[in-house]
Amino acid sequence: MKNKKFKIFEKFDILTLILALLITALGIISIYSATHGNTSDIDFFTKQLIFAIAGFIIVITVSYIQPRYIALTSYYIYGFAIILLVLVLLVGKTINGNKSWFYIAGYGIQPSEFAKMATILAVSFYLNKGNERKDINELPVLMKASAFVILPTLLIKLQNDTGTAIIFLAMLLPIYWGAGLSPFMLFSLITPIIVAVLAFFNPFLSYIALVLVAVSLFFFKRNLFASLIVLAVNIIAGFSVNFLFSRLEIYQQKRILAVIDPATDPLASGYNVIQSKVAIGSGGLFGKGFLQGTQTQLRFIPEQWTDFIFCMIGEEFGFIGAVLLILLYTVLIIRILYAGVTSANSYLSLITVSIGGLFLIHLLINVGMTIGIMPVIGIPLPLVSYGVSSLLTFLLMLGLVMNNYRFRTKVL
Amino acid sequence: MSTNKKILIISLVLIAGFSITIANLIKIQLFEHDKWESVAKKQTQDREYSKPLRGIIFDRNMKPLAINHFNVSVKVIPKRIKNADSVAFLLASALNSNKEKYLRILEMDTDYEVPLENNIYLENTTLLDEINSDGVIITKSAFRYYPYGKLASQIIGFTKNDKGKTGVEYTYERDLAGKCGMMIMQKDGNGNRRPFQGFRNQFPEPGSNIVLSIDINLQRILEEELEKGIFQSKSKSGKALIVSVKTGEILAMSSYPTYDPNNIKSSDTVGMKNRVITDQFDPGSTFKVITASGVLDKNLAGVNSEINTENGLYEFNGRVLKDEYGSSSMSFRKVIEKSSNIGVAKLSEMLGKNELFRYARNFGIGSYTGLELDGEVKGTLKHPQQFGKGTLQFMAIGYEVSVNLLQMAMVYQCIANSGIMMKPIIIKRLISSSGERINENYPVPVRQVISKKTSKIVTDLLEGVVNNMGTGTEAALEYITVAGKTGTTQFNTGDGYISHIHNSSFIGFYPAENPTVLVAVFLDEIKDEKFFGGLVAAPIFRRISKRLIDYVGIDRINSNDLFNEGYYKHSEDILNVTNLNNEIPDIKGMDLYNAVNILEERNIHFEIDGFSDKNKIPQKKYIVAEYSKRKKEGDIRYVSVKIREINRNEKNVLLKVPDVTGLSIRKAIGKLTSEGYSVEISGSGRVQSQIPEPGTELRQTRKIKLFCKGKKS
Repeated sequence: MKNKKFKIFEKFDILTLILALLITALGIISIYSATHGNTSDIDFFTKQLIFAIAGFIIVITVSYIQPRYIALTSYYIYGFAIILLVLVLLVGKTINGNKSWFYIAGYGIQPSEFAKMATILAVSFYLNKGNERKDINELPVLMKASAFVILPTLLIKLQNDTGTAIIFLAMLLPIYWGAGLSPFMLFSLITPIIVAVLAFFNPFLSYIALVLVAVSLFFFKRNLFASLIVLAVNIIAGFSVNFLFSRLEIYQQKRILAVIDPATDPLASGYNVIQSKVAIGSGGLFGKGFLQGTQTQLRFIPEQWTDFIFCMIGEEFGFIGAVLLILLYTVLIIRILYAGVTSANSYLSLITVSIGGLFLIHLLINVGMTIGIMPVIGIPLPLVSYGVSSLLTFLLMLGLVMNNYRFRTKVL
Repeated sequence: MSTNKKILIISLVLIAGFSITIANLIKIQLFEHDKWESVAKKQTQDREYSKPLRGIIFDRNMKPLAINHFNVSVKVIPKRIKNADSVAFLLASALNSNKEKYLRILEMDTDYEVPLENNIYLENTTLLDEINSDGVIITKSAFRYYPYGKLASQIIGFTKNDKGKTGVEYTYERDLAGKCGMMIMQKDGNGNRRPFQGFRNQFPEPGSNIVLSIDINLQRILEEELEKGIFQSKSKSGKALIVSVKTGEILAMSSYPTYDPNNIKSSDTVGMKNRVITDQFDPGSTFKVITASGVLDKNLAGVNSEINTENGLYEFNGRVLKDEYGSSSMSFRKVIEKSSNIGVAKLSEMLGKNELFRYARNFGIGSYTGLELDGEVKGTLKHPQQFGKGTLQFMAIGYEVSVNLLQMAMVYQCIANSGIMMKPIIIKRLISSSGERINENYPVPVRQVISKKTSKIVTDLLEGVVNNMGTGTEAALEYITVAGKTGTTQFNTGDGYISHIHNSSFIGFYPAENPTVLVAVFLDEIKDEKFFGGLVAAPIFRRISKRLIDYVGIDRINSNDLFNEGYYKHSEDILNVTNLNNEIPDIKGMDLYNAVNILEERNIHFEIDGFSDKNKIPQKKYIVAEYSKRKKEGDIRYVSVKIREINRNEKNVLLKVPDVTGLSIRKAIGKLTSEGYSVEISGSGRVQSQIPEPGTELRQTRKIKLFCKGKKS
C-alpha cells in the first residue's frame, strides 16, 4: 500500500455516482415543475440544486475517508444525533403536526433524517467493534443492537412523526439480515407482521398464512419449544391486530383504511390517495409533458414537491418516465446491495447493506402510497423529494456506499 | 449465509417489490388511464355559461317598454391587468365606487381571480361595457324591468327566471332570449378558478329587440278611460282596443283588471290574461253589420227598402224575437240605426244560411285572426249544416255565435278599409342586437270580403247609428264623423242567458269619409239598470277618441299616413300587387313542406287527398303532384292537393333562383313567395342585391336574402 501511488480514480464507484446524479437531476427537474408558478417565497428548485451540488462534493469526499476514521467517530455521530432528537422535542418547530424541525436561518432541518445514517453507523460499529465480529444470533447482542435503533424510534414517535418511526423499525430488517441473523430468527420476526397485515385486510388469508408458518417451522427443524413460541407469537399477532387498530388515533386508522378504499374519506386522508392516483393515472403511457400536468400545475396534490413528487413524474412523464425512475433505483439498489454483501470489510458491508435496504424501503413505501397500495406515511422519495435534510442524508449515505466500494477489500 | 444465497434473497425481494409496484403502475396508468383522465378533466375544467342579454321591447315610437336592469359582479386577475391605475379609475366610475379601494386589489401579486364587487344593482352598464381590459371579469345578471309598469302589461307579458311566461315575452321567447356564451374555466386544488388559456371564449349573443305596433301614449289613454268607464258603469270587467284601419296594426289593447309586471308576486293572475283575445262572447248587435254587409254586397236590398218589423214581436219556428221600440215596418237604414232585431232577422232570411255563413267566415268569424300572441280563442261559428231552428235569424243579430273582441274589431276594420280585411299586427319589427338585421312585419291584407262600394254604404249606415238619432249618439265627436255600432247582450253563463246582467259594447271608426282609427270597447257583466251599449260603452269610446285626437292632432286624423309611417299608400295597392285574392300560387312540384307554408301563409284552405290529418304527414318526404282549385261551400278559395313521395333523383332537383334585383321590396316578395321561397330583408327601398345570386341552382335552401337600399319609388 505504501508503495502504491494514490490514484484518485482507482476503485472509484463511478456507476453509483452516475446513477445518483441521474436520479437527483430528475428530482430537481420534478421539483421545478411541481413548484412552477409557486407564489410562496421559497425557491425550492434553486435550494435543492445548490444543496445537491454541495451534496455531491460531500459524496466524493466521504468516499475517500479512511474507514477507520468513520468507525472511530460512529458513536459520536450517533450521540450527536440523539442529542438533536431530544433537543428538537424541546425547541423544535411543529410543521404538519410533527415536532421534528429545527429552523436555522430560514432553513428547516429534520434531525430524524440525519439520525437514520447515524443509527446505521452506530449499529454497524457496535457489531464490528474490536477484532471479532459479534454474533447477532446471540440474544444479548441482538437486543443491544436493536436498542440502537429503538432509542431514536421512540424519540421520533414522540415528535409525532409516525412515518419516520415506522421506517426506523423497518430498518431493523436489513440491519439484522446484513449482520447475519439466522433465517429462523428473521422468519420469526417477519412472519407475525405479515400475518397481522393479512388478518387486518382478509382474515381468511391470515389463516392460510398461519398454516404456512406452521409448515415452515416444521422444516426449520428447530426445537419444539422455540417453534411453538414463534407460532404462538404469529397467532397472537393475527388475532390482536384489530384490537391494536382500534387503539390507534382516528387519523391513523383513516389513513390505513384509505389504502383499502380511498373513497371512504375522500376529503381528508383519502384525498391524497385519490388525487395522486388521478394525477398518475391521467398521465398515461407517455405523460402530459413537462409543465403540462394539470393536476400538478393546478396544485391538486398537497406538498407535491416533497412526499408526493412521484405523482408529478407519473403525470408529466407518464408510465415510461415512472418506470425509468424505478429502473434507475433498481440498478442503484442492486449495485449497493451487491457491493455490500461482497465486501470483505464487515463494518462497511453492514453499513452498505443497511443503506441499500433503507433505499429499498423508502422507494417501495413512497411509490406504493402514491399509487394506493401502501398507507400514506410521510416519507420522502430518496434523492428526488424536496428537502435539504433528506437529500444531504441520502447523499452522505451514498458517500459511505462509495467508500465501501473503495475499501471493500480492506479489513478494518 | 453464503454470499450467493444472500444475492439470491436480494434478487427475490427486489423482484417481488418491483413487480408489485410496476404491476400497479400498469394498472393505473395504462388500463385505468381513461377513467383517471376524465376525473382529472372534471376536476380541472368547468364550463361557465354566461347568459345573454334579453332583447328590449319598444313601442312604435321606440319608447322602451321592457328593459334590463343589472346585478353586477366584478372579479379581477391582478397579474393580467396592464395599467392598473386607469382600469381602477374606469371601474370606479362605472360602479360608482372608490378608485383607491380598487387599486389596492388590482396591484396584488396573484394570477388568481379576486372578487372586486359582488351583486351590485346597476340600471345600465354602458360604462362597464367599455372596460375591455384583460383580467377583468364582469358577470352581469340582468333582470327585466318594465318602465311603464301596468301599461300594456298584458301585451308585453312578464318573465320568470329569465324565461317569458306570458305575452310577447312568451311568444317571442326564442328571439328575445339570445344565445348563451360559454367559457371554460380552470379550477385548481385550492378552489381557485381562472379562464382556460387554450379555449376561445364564446361570448353571449343578446336577443333581438322587438318593436311593437303599440303606441304607449294611446295605451295609457285606453287603459285610463277603460278603468274609469268600468268604475262608472259598475261593470265587473272590460276590454278595449285601438286599431290602425289601414294597416291592421293594434295601437293599444287592454283588458281590465290588469296587473303590474314589476311586481308579479302580489299580482292577481286574473289580470294577466289579455282578454281581448282570450275571451269569447256573444257579440250581439255589433254582429248585425255582417248580415247587413252580406245583403248589400249581394244587392238583395237597398238602404231605403222597407223591412217588415212585425210591430216589435216576431214569432217563427217556435222562437220569438222582440224589439225594444216596436214598429210595423222601417227602412233598412232605420233597422241598422235603431238596431232592430226583427229587421235584421228579416234581412238574414233574404241572405240565406249559406251566404250568412260565408260572409261571417270571410269576415274572420270562427277562425284565428293570426295575431302574433298566444292564447287567442277562435270562437265558434256554426256551419249551415249545424244550423237549428232559428239559428239563421239569431246568428244574424249576434247570438248562437261567439267571437273574441279582436275578431269583432277586425270586422269593422274591414268595413272601414274598403272591404279589405287586414291581418291584425302587434309586432312591427324585429331588430337583431347588432341592429344589422331587421325583419319588418309588413301589413298583410287577408282578403277582400265585400266590395268597396258595399263598404261605403255600410259605413254610411254606421254613420247614421251615431249621428242620426240612432243608438250610438253618445259616441259622436265634434268636427269628426264617427261610424259605429252598439251592442247589448244578456250575460251568457254558458248554459243560458241571465236577463238582469248585461254585456255592453261599442265598435266605431273615424273619420267616416276616410277611416284611419278604430276603437272597440266591451264591458262585461253590468248589473246597473243603465246597460245599453249606446249609454255605457259609447261614452268610453268617445272619451278615448277625444284624447286620441288631441294626441295625434285633428289635422292629421284624416291623413292616410296616420299610423302608417309612409310604408303603404293604401292597402288596396298591396292587394293589387300581390293579387292575393284571385290567385293561388303555383305549387306543383314543390315539396309539401313549402307548399303547405305558402298556402297557410295566404289563408288558403286546403286538403290533402288520402290524408285526413294533414299535420301527420312527413312533409319533407312528399311533393305536390297535382292540385286543383275548388269551390267549396262557404270558402272562396279552396285547394285540393294530391301528393306523392319524393324519389331519390328529385331530391337533387336544382332550382334556379329568380332575379329580383331592381324590383321594389313588395314586388320582389310577391315574385319570390309565389315560387316558394322565403324571404329575409335587410334595409329598405329597392332590391340592390340578393343572396343567393340570380341563376344560382339550389337544392334545399329556399331562403333568399335581399339587400335593399334607397328611396322607394
